[in-house]
Amino acid sequence: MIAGTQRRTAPRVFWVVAAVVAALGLAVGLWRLVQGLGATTNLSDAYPWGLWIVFDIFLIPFSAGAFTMAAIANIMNKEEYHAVARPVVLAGFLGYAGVVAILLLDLARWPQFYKILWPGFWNLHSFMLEVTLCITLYTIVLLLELSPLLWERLRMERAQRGFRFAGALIAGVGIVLSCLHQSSLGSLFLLMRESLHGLWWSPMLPLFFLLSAVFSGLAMITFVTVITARAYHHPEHVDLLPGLAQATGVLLALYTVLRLADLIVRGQAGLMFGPGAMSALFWVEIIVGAVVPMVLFALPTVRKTVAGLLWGAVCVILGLALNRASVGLFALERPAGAQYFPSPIEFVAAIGVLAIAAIVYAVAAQYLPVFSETAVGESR
Amino acid sequence: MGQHSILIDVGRCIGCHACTTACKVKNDTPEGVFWTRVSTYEQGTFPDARPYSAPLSRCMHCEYPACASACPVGALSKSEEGAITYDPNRCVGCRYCMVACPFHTPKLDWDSVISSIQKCQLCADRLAADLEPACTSVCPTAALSFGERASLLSEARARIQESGGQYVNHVYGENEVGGTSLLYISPVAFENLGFSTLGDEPVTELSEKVAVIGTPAIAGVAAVVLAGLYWVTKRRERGKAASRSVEESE
Repeated sequence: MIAGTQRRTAPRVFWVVAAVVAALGLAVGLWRLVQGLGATTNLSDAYPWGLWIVFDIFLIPFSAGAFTMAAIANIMNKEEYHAVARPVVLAGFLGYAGVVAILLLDLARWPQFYKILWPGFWNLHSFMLEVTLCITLYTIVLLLELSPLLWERLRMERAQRGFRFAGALIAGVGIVLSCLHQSSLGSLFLLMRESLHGLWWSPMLPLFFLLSAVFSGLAMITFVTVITARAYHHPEHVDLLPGLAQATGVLLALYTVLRLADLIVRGQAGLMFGPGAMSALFWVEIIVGAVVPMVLFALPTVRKTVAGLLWGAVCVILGLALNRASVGLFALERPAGAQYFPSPIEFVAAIGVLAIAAIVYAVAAQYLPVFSETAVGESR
Repeated sequence: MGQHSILIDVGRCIGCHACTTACKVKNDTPEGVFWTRVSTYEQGTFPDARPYSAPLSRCMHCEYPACASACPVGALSKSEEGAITYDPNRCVGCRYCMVACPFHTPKLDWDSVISSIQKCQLCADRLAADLEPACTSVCPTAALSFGERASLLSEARARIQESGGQYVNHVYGENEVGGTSLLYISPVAFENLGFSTLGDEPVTELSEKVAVIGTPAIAGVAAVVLAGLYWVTKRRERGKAASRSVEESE
């Protein structure tokens, strides 16, 4: 019935654990909407942004695998990547859907969320506006990129043919939107010149955020491909990854050089060797997130092994998480004595969103041609 | 009338909390939330210690407000006379204004189910009715005075002169982040009262420049690069296909 796909269901323990976590997440999410932010989170005037915002500004560049994959498969038309494109784009879409869900939970006046979509209210100087509009549109673009899954499943030939022509255009729109919001996430923090620590604040923030989204996207492709190749028995998909790993290494090197050069040009290089937690945080981020994976990916013997690829990708993703947590939380100046540790509800809601995403992924993999040979946004 | 402004003279404040109370009564702020509140700091060491008080951590009503620049829906806006006011009907509650403000002044009433941003509105409704703000109208020692920014600025400089070196020779708010409508003068170092040392350039300048120039530039460059890549790829593929068909026909 389903062309080119095997029906493969995830183990029962996955369904049970994911369902319990997802149900808990949904419950505490609803509780937060009904009870308000103060009653359910540990946020305060000193810490207006917490775990949820860090979760969002991390998950957006993590999900960038979808747009880098679209660039490789649809624009540069590298056919060998078409087979791994769908699992990655599906993961990317679920990442963005999770971001939107958490963003909604985080809005103190959530019943009015739709007002941000009303052009009469738009403040075009606000990067919060640009980010919100771009991720809303991009989530729709990802849905379109995934729609051939449905046309194929339902054998709707005409829709399939239509998408063959629209594929590259949709991918192109998605890539432009991604470049915009990935850089705008960095631009959000341009206003914080006086409060964001000098090791992270820079007029180059938009460029740094865009560049790190691209290499994190490549790392996410590696990560998702290794995991799904194992879970769904497509070992041949891993063969493409050493090439991606090499490209990731080059981008990491460029990023590291730019970060250091920027500190020197701004005369802030001394902060790298300053006392206190900030310089330590900076070095852990650079070493774990850039230097270690750069070395791993530079060694042909390492990048040709599945373990080497996986560990390299995990390091890049950890480095990304540290960077976004520093910019969004740790490295912002606070009133003396202020403290923040996320509440259990903040943790459970964030993990619950990930569990829901995992369930949707497993269901889609079971019933839709996710692992068929055709590319996203394109049908045979 | 030019820019509405408030001059706060820390040396004259006796810590009576009349302004705190008047503000709370006028604006009916939620429990535990203050748009202005007198804080007391002890200066020096015993037996020469002396308390200083002043209404601190209140909205400075910036000339170049980061909060208004940050707000995606224009819920915060600056009036011609300089007051930054808040419209809860537009606000979605993203709290970007709270993070962006270099003075950390916007607060949230966290205990409400649907919270709203809490900050001084410079009594915009009273000003419209030709009244001065509630806080300045009740101050018994004229530690708070309301007026036009230029004249309050010269008043501030005159008081610093007259103090004969007692006052710090700095009007806080004259140039900080591009200048603010609130001006402070003090006999105690500003850092000791919890004021941050801030640069003179507005924090909004770079961000707004990037928004106006950077955004279309990134979109344009990305679109052109993609179109180019796509064209090159297609050409190469067509070339390959053509050479293949030539080989086949030979």
